[in-house]
Amino acid sequence: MKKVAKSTSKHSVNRRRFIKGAAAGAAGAAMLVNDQTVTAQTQSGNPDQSADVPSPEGEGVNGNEGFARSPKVDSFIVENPGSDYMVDVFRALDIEYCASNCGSSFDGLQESIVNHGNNQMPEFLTCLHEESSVAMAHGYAKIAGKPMMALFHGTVGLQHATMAIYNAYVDRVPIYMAVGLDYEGPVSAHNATDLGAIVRNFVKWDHQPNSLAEFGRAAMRAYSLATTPPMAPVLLVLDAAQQKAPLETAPSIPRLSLPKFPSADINSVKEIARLLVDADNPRINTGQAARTQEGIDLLVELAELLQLPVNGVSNRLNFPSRHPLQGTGTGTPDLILNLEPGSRIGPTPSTPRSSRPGATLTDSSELTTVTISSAEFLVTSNFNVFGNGAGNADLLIAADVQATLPALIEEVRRLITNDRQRFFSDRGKQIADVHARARRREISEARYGWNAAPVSLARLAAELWPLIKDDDWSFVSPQRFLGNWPSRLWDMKKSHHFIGAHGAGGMGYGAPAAVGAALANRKHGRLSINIQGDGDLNYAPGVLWTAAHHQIPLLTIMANNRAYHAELMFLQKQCAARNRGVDRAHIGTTISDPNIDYAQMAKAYGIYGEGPIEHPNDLVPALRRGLERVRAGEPAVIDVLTQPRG
Amino acid sequence: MNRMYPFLLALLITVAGLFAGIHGSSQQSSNDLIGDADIGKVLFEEYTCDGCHGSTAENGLGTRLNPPRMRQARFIQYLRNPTNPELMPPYQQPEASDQKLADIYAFLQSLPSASPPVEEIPVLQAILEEVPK
Repeated sequence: MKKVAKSTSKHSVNRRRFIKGAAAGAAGAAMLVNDQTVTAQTQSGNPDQSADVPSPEGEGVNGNEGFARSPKVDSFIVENPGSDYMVDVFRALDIEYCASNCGSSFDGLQESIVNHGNNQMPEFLTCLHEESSVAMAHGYAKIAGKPMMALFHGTVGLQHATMAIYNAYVDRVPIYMAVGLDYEGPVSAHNATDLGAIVRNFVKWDHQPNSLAEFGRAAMRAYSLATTPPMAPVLLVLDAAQQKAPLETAPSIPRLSLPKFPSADINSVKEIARLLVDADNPRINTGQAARTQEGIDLLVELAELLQLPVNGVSNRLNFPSRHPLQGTGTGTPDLILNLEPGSRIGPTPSTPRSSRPGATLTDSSELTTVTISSAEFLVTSNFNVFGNGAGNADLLIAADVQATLPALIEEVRRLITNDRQRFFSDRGKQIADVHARARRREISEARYGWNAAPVSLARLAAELWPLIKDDDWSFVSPQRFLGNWPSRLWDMKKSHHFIGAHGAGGMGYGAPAAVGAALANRKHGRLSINIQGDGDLNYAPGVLWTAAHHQIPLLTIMANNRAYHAELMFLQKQCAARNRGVDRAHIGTTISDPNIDYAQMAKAYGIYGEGPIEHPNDLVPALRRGLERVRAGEPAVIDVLTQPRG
Repeated sequence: MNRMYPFLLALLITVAGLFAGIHGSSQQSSNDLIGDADIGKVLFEEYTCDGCHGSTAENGLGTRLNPPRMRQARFIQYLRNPTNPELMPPYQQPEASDQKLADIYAFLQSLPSASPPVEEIPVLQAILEEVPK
């Protein structure tokens, strides 16, 4: 079969282009079922279809009259393959992109995407590693608010993807994943009896449909589950035989039913509102509370009603970084409301820094802790994803925060008396004063090491700010290894201003997630900024080529400390504790000798590259040149040698 | 009030002396080891002190060491027995000898500041001016 395919592939291309044209003429995502029927009828009823196909002897390429096709070719040509229906289903789900590293187990589907679907909805994104495919989808979803498709080849492709899937799972980000399964494929090791088992512990749902009709239903269910809080990746296993088999009549495309998001019950809402209004010194900690701009706006409304502090820049931008109520306030809290606190244990309430992730409990018996988290619906076996759960709360509500906030705001509004209003107003002034003082202190701290070479991370963020602040900008990388300087110095107020971090802390996320987020930003004309760790980039740097190939504008600034510096410090601590040579902590933790030339790396992948920039005086001109490229629609890489930590 | 003056002066001198011993200046004492700043620079990098304190010992996760705010003896004592060994690992003999730590101390003393005041950094000044008064 493979040999036949090879010998006839040229001829088939012409025919497929014809089919593509017919399908394109019947395009329209809303009524794909009817289109499919029309297309199938057109294909089978058109006498000219055979005209482009030459004879096996190589004649008739230019002659269309009296042309006969050999029985062998006739038996090979597949009319209306099942994978065309799959593409129609993906289009009905409004899936814009399919990130993939090609593989023979889904060649049927890939052919349908590029020919039947005209490489639109979804568009095939050429990735050089499956981990990049998933991480791109991860970053994309955090900007676009909807999933991208990631498509893998059998056991090997799916195993390449696993780390990035785990990151997305922990970060509660939807990714629409599919893996090809070809029992007739050339390598038996690429097959498995239960492919989904590879990732079952860290996807929300996986399914292997045994018919195209079931595929349609499963595709809808997968989408619905992925995009309902707690959001998470899902996986469909697509049998190659189903992709390639001809269809007499395509199944109808099932309707997509999306459930209402789970909000807290009204009694719980009333209880939380009462606690918030009665508390003298409450505060809110957030992890992944705001899914969209609406979530940020709702949190601002609640905070301003109560004049309480919100620790709102952590796994997402949940609250504007410069809002007077941003931070942990002052004094000892009597109530902490944790909103989607995530898996990281945050600081105790006395921790002074305002931008750290959500606190959970303290030992104080005076403290009441309330937690709202949809993570309670995402019970995970084996992996200790949410090992701390949503925290040891006095009141634990399993619900989506953003869906709960409107009712909570209404209830709070109803309970506030004039006396409490005055009290809140005074409290708000104190918090605003604390916030302003904290900001002034943090800005002043940025001066330390300002003229040092390599460049300080604070200076990198500070110098970048005036160059981008008048654009519609989007910071598409994690910031913890940057000392959180972007959120400490920049005015982050829109949900696309900061997309948060890896999820599970798995390296190799940064660059591809930034490319995916930049792709989602592209149609909005946004300026995407990635401050990229060098260790992270080297997991799968080929995504730079993907950015170049698909013309995704993104400024990548290397925060190049030539090391896995967090690990270096861990090893240094062990060396010191054992008193056996603190001067050897660099072994296995540094990325030098030879130094990696990221400007050359960028150029090798077809991207503008510059650097290394070591002296701070050279920084701004280099950033300007990079930004010029990005504003013209290109990706660019500026390699900056930086101080190890912020 | 006049009778109180000698007492207040003595108290002031005592407090100042204590402060200098604990938090104060990095002045050399007669018992100090003679440190070599050049060797100290190499050791500062070999021991990856810059990982937490920055290459000019002014930024990063660790305490600012430029200029050193302890006397040499206190500095060495602190490195042997830091307050929080989870954050600042202890450096013990013989691996990190007193002489090596004195060399690092000398390097820290020799470091110029790379931290101008905010008023001399227009970018930071502009960000500062965006903070409500």
